[in-house]
Amino acid sequence: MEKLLNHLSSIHPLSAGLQQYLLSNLKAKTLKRKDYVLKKGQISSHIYFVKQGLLRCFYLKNNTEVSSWFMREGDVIISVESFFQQKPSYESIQVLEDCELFYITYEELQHIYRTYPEFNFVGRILTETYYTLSEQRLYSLRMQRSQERYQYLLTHQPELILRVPAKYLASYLGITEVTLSKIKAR
Amino acid sequence: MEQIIQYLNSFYPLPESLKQEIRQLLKHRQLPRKSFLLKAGQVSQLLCFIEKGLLRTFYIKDDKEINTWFLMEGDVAISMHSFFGQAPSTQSIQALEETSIYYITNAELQNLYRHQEFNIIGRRITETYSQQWTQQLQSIKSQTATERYDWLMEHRPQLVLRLPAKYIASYLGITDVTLSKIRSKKRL
Repeated sequence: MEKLLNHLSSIHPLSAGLQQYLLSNLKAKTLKRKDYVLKKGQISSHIYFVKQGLLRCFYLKNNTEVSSWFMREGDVIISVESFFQQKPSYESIQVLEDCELFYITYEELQHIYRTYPEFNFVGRILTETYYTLSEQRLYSLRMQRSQERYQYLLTHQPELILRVPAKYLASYLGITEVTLSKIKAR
Repeated sequence: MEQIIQYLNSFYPLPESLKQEIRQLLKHRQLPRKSFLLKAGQVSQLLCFIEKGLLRTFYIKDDKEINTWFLMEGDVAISMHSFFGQAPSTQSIQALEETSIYYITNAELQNLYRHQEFNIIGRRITETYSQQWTQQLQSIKSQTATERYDWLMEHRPQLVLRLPAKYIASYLGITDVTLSKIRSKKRL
């Protein structure tokens, strides 16, 4: 939990009261490969911090799973629309490598924002960061050829290429496994 | 300008002193039709509130302009990665009508963030736009052009009224011909 508090306070100092609240209310969860953190149709009512492990986010298109996002150590996990509006999620979040997560509920987060105002700075920065990543991802999908998208991943998130099973990586890049192995072979 | 103060205030009540500070920071700019607020490759320095008018965001791919979104009165115009990352923008922002905006600089915004209330507002606005963006992302990945047109008609009908057909078609990733086919099916 120290790592998480350090990560958050590196964005903005946390008051003693907030640190105490987090120490008392942060819950830990251990999940195994293939477990679900969130299933399509459920409400994303918790916000998670990944201490250890790898997860993927996917949605169904014509009954095929399309991987849209991968989360690893140091990442924050929510299903955006579902979390902020507290409504059923269209996507699922599944464990790819056994993981250890810390989490609080949506209500606890709102309580923190109300009671410890300095956390709004942290919340804002994290939201900006993920929104920007999301914007870049859309740009990549629209603008780049699969070779370029693979190259981008190799440059910015090489550990994903090592850790994520080929079928999920291919789906994320919007290509077939065959195409992916051709690109990798080059 | 007051509508911008009201907009910010709607996310969290602003003390009068902070409202005053913001009023003094907001600068006005008039954008003629077809002028650029931001060109691809430039680093975005301005956060803009649209008082009146219409803007489009677009990329150039293989010499073609691809429209990605449209902004009107009440919207915030910004290139997220460029403004917050202080990196060259991947897209351009252009006025489609005579547009009136108010803006502040990145430095001024960061300075406003020393006020706790403004972080609440900044967070909530970012959450709102983040959700819109995610919806768009999902829509582009999962929906047909017709479904996306329907979404526009339902959620942003004023855009459909004001935008030339070629811009809507480009946004939906279809030709003008396909768009008029979709539209005529709806009229039947």
